[in-house]
Parts: sequence; C-alpha cells; structure tokens
Amino acid sequence: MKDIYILAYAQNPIVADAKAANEVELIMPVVHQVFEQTGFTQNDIGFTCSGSCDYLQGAAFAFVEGLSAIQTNPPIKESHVEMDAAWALYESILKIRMGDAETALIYGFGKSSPGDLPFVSTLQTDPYYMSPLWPDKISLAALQAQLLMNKGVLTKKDMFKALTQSISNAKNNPNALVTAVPSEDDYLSADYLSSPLSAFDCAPISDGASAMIIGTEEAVAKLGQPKIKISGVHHSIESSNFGARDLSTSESIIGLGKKINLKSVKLDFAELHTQFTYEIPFIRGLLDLGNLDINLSGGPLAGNVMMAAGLDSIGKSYELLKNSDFHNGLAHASSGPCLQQNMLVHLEKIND
Amino acid sequence: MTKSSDKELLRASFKLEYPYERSPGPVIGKFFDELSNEVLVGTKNSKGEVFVPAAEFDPKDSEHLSEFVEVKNEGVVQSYTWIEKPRAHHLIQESFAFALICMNGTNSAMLHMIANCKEDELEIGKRVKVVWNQEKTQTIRDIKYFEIIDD
Repeated sequence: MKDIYILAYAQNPIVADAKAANEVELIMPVVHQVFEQTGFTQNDIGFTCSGSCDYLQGAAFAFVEGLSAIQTNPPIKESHVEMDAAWALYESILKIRMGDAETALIYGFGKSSPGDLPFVSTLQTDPYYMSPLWPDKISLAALQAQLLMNKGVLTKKDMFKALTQSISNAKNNPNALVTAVPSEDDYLSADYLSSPLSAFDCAPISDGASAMIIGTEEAVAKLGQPKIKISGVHHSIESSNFGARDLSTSESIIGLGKKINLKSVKLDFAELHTQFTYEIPFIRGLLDLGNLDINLSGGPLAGNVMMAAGLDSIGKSYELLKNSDFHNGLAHASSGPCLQQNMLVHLEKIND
Repeated sequence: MTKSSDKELLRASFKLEYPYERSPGPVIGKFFDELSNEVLVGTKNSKGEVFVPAAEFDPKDSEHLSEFVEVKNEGVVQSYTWIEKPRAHHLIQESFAFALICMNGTNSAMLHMIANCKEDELEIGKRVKVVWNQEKTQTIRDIKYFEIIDD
C-alpha cells in the first residue's frame, strides 16, 4: 500500500459572520495558499474532493457552487462528501491507495451564520423518530453530558478546565475566533441552554474554509520539506438508532484507538474535533490519553467551521509536527449527534 | 472594487423543511398506526430484546426484526436535559426536558419530551408515562410528551 503524506494545509481566519461573502470567496484564498505552499497548479492534482453541508446553504446540490473556486477546465476528477472534509480526505486517501491518483486537493467549507445551526443540524437526524420532535444539536449533546456527569465520568470543573485550556491555546492559532478566557465564576453561573450545557460549553457559530493537499512519497520528496506521513487512519460509525446507543461510552472511539494501535505510539499531542467542552475529558478517558496536550490550536471551542473543523484537527496536527520537535500527533474528526461517527488519524514526522 | 464581506447581506425568508413526504414502511408504519390507537408497540429480536420505538433491524447484529410486542406506556428516564427557555422550533414553548426514556420491558430508549414538571423533580431513574396528543397524525408526535408518575 502506498504511503501518503500531507503536503500543504491552509485555513481562513475563522469569523462569526462572513456577511455577504459567499462560499466561493471563502474557499478561493485557502486553495490559492495550498497551491502556493506546494508550487502546484490544478494540473498537478490527480483528485479533488470537498466536504460541505447543503443544509447550511439551504439548497440541494449547493456544494457544486464551491467548485467555481478551482479551475475545472480541462475536466478534473472530482468528488464531494456531505460530511466534514476529514471524510473528503479519507476518500482521497482511498483514491491514491487504489492507484487512481498521486496527489489530491481537499477542501471543506461552511457558512453557519445565516441560519440557526443547532436546528439546521436537527434535519440530519432520523426523520421518523427524531427530527419531528426538533431536538437541537445542543440538547442532544446535553443528554450525553448529563449521563456522563451522573455516572461520575466527568464534572463541570473538568469541562471548565477543558474550556480554559482550549481558549488559552487559541493564541497559537492566528485564525481563531474566540480568545477571551471566561472566569470560573462566569462559567459556573451561566444560564444553561440545555442543562448541563451553557453557551460557554458550545463551540461558536463560525464561517470559514480550509484546504489541504496530500500526495505519495514521490510527491513529498520533490517539496524538500519535513515529511508528515499519515501513518494510520480509520473511521467508524455507531447505530443511527439513537436510543439503542450506549451514550456513557463510545464503542466507535475505543475501537478506533485499537485499530490505529494507539498503545504502540508515543504521542506528543492530540487535536480533537470536540464541539462541546465535555467531549474533551470524555475522549481523553476513552483513549487513555493521560496528561497529553489536547487542542494546542484551540480546537473547535475557539472556532468551529462546520464541515471543515474535522479537517482542521488534521491540518493543525500537520502544522504542529512541521513547525516543532514533535514526532507523533493524533487527530480526530467527528460527525453526527453525541460523537456518532469518528475518525482517528495518526500523523508521524519521518526523518530521512 | 468593494469586497462582498463589506456589503450588506441580502435577506429572504426561508422555511426550514423537507419539501417531500416519507413512507414509513411496514415496521415504522405499524408503530405509528398503533400510536394513533394510543398503543405502544416494539419489535423483538431472537434474544428476546425489545426495541421501542420499533426498530427495523437489530443495531448490534443487523437481525431483521418483524415480531411485534405491546408494551406499557410507562418508562424510566435514562438521561434528560432541562430547557428553561425553549428556543425557536421547540414544540413546547414552556420549560420542558428532552429525555431518553426506556419503556418498561424494553432494551432501548426513546427520545422524547417531558413536561408538566419542575427541573428539580426530574432525575435519571425517574418513572414517567405517556401523555397522548388528542389529534393523531400517525407520527412520533402522537405522543404529546411524557410526565412524571407520582409515587
């Protein structure tokens, strides 16, 4: 099987409201940046794959518009996932492994500001038993947080600690949206939106886009930059039958930890796609991460572009490995209510 | 040239909906038919485990489920979240809870709402019962909400 490396990554400054800027205008700058980083043009790209959510734009096949951000003439090999762009990366990895391409361009974008995101997400839930009751994304997460607190898995203090660490780390990311760390009093006295979660516990509504280029060993060798290899990548999903899942644990995340053989890796950090504070101590426990640094980039609590934030975990891990002495990073992406679907990626710096 | 990000955003009204109808099929359809008769049914797998709301297949081993059993309209709260101030789209516009409720004699939980109570009366393990909607639509909304059973 071919080894695959990350060659470039770029993220737009995350904003709370991109106003009239459309999706194409959000995507263009990051696509140009990854081309600049590699010296590539669209002609050097074997496969292009994007991740986005048509519900955000409110129209079927809205993602096709995004293609206007790249050069598609002569015709290109292209695909789209109605998911976070981390899964567009996954499809691209498969495409390269199958021998259909040597390089791939991946981008994810989301403009959540025009709608009411927690309710837009409701439309992605089971249309018979769930969405007619209008459970918003925050309330579904709150059901899991409540259960975990009740079972003694975590406390509000753990959630506050996860929040302050994330937001303090956001200074490492010039593109972060939230950088003001709340006081413990403000946090503990905040009204709950859906108990036990207040607005502090939820990632901010964000607009933005990110892009990445990956390629084979031959492609990375030409660039003369540190080689950051995708050493392990797996994803898995739990049942769509929400009430049949055990929300006090995550079969998906535990299983993935075994599949990418985490025990055998000496990790330097983890970047987790955690959209709620409770998910950080929860996943730390599930994967037995001990005192490992989590979300040195600030993570989604400091800026959470729907459909790009999972790819950002992987991209920020790539940047950390490239620009530091770190050797091994773990990146996580997620989708669906209460961490229904997850992806774990082990990134490794290869020294020649 | 002015950038789009500096311009005022054009706005138009938009209704968030599925503009099409769904066919519920033989299992979910039967569950909804029975709900409109104020009866709760679930499906049973070969191990004797019961799923309410009725599941078409076993989420663990994908066993096809077609055997129906009736269950009592009482259950136990597995988890809940209290919403002091309901937001747009919430069906109940007074304080209420979303909850996962395990109906008596079943092995899965149902997402629904709990109303007519105060936050401090609610806890995991609390017993609740169905309150039916007078107007039946053969949907999950034929259950209006759940309320606490006074011991």
